[in-house]
Amino acid sequence: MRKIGFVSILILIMLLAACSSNASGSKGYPDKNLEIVAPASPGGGWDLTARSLEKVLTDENLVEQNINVVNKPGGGGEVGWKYLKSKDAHTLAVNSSLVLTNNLLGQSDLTYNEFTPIATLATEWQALAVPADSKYSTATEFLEATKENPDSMKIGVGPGLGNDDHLSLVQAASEFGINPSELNFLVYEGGGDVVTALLGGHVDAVTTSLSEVKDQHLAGKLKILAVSSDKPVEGIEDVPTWQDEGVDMVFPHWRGLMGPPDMTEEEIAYWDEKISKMVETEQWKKVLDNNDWESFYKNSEETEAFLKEQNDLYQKLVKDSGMMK
Amino acid sequence: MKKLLRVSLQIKILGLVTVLLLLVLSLATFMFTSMESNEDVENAEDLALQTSKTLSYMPVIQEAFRVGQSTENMNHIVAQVKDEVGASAVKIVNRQRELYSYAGVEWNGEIVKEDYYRSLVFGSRYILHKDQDEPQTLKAIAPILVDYGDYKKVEGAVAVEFQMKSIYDEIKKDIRKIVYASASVFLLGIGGSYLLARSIRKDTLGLEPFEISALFRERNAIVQSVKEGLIAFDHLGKITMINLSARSLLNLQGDLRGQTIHHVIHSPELLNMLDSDKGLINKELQYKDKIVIVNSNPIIEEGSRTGTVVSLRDKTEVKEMVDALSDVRQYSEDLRAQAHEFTSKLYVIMGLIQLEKYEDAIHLIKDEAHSQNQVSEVFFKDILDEKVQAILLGKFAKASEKKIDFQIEEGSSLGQLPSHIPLSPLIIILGNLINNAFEAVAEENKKRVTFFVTDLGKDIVFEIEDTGKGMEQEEMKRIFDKGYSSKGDNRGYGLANVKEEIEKLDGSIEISSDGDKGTVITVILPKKFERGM
Repeated sequence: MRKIGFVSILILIMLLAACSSNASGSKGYPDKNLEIVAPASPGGGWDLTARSLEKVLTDENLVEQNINVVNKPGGGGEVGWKYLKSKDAHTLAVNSSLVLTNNLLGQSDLTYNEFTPIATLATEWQALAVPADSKYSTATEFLEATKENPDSMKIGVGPGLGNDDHLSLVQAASEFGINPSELNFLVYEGGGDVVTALLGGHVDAVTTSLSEVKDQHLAGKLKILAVSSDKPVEGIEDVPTWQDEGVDMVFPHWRGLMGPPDMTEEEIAYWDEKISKMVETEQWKKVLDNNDWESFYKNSEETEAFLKEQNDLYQKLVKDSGMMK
Repeated sequence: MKKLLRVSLQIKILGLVTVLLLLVLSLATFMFTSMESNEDVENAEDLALQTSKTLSYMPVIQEAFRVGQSTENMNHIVAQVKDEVGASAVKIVNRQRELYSYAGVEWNGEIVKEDYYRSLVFGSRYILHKDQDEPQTLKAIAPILVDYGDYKKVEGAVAVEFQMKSIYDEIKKDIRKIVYASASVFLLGIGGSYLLARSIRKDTLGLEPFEISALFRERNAIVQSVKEGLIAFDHLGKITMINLSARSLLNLQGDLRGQTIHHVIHSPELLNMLDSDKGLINKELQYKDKIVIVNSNPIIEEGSRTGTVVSLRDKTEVKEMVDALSDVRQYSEDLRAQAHEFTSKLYVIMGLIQLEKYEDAIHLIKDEAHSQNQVSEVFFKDILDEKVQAILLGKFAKASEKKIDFQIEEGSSLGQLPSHIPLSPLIIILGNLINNAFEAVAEENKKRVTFFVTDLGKDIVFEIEDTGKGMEQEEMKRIFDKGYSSKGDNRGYGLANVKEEIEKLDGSIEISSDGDKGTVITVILPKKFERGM
């Protein structure tokens, strides 16, 4: 009996050894074409991030291998990430907070733990905007009025509930003492439609990415009441942050990069080196400027900690606020 | 511990099988039921979630929310769906979490608001386990997202409830089935092991294994201690057992078990003898410098030989012992007879001297010396073989003691006997025959025995004639049988041995008895011994 136990343990050890030697066997990583998955159709933020990565990494000769961008739209990123899970370390995918919230909101079984964090790249900030002729000139005024009569305040959001646009306002309202379930959200197809609805007077306010409304704000077509950043945003320094408005909240809409499960330390180190170099390039800084993104670089290790922290935050937001009646 | 293990084979097997079966079956049952019940719960969850999702998309329900009030149609559909999926209740609430439609069992009408929070705020679909509630329920909640063209809005939520009791009932039913199945397997295993134990006991003649091992050790000790050489080998010639005596007899060393007999024994004659399906009895064989008496016994099972047991005795050793024994006995006999003779003569001489008849005494001494000389002269001149001389000398003494007239017939002559006739068969043949003749005449008036020998021609002929009362025809036929004797019990081996020895020397024996005239026994031994051994 003892012998059998010993033998089976031996076999197990040998198998494990075989597995690990297999995994670490990829000496010359990367040794074939690389692939970056954009889990959305061409044209969106994820697609833009993926293509910018490909361009900068290639143009700056940081990566010798060919990089292909693959679009895998559907399920709020789930289709693309499921595809990533089935690939080896030569495939990476762009992600955002949806990789956390999809699971928390019951939209997906995938969790962020099932992937290897590579980097956090950039962030956008969220904005609360009202029509130019709105009677509310500050975020506080708006929230006060909403607290009075939540059902009468139509708020546009897109393309779905549970995204960062939506969650940022839910958190702000929640901090302000409003029961989020009383907020009257109208769900539009996308960020553009939301702004159109606001300009058309169909909604009283919108919550969306800063880049969607920044130009109209500067043009005077609408008013941005608050941004979710920790300090005033360049170009619209007059717009207060939520913290300025007395709401204790900083809400980044970040984008990052992750790989399939069980990547080796060597592979992770490779990307840490390449991406830390990339974010310092002029070309990447230009990309950030053009898209109103802010650099938000974190390496693999930092990203892992960041994801955990964000997950806790979202969990609190989604689950615990449910305890409020 | 040792004592504990000393239980019967049946208990051992039963115990082991019972423990193993219990272990395996309970493990399997436990795993299977836990998997099964998990699966049942998961199935119920899936069903509830799918149902709530389907309901949330149903045009009738969407329409009711667009209009802003519940409709008869909606209630109808909700009740129908509830019955189809076997849910215990279906609830539809609006954004304010007021009941829009309800189908199901009696209910106190209270809506737990936080159940719907995630659905109404984030548009999530999810499962809730209400384990604290009475009765326990499983709840699937889905948002009703109404499409207004430009935009969509969460207007309400659907809750589909299943009572855990009905799911548990289902699980219980499954578990019962599994338990029945494993119980029958268990009984089958017990029955099987009982039969197995019985069949093993039958094969071992009802002996427990420890008894068998004791027997085996005993047998080994016996086999090793026996003076005879013993070898057992199987039908392929593989040695399964060989004892010390066999080793020393055949001069073998090292570990021989498992080797083939052909590899170990280099005598083709012996191998030939052993390689037969018939047993051997007392076969003699020259093996190296020894003569070996071989007995073999094939082990026959269902008509074919499965092995052979061979016993070996050292003939040389036996022979030497017999020789030594007969020599000693002969010499002591002779000495005793002679001593007796001389003692009686010495008494006569002493008597004569006491009577002062010195002349007579001197005469007697001279006479005796002369007769001794003469006796020696007579047959030592004609009979030159020392072995026969020695035997006859002894018999003379014995005859003189018993007052038997023992004579060597005129014309007897014998040179040196050929080497193939050693002393011991001669002692057996001549000693027995002469003794028999002595006994035959012991009770007669005329006590006369004559011995004749001649080696003229190819044969050596011995003839012993007595004046006894002879033998019946019937008696003559049985005289050479073992155990037959006219002289009482525990005898009767004499003539059988004589005959055996004569046959070994390729000779023959004849008996003629003519009523009152006594018996003549003739032994013919060939001078040249041609038959190979």
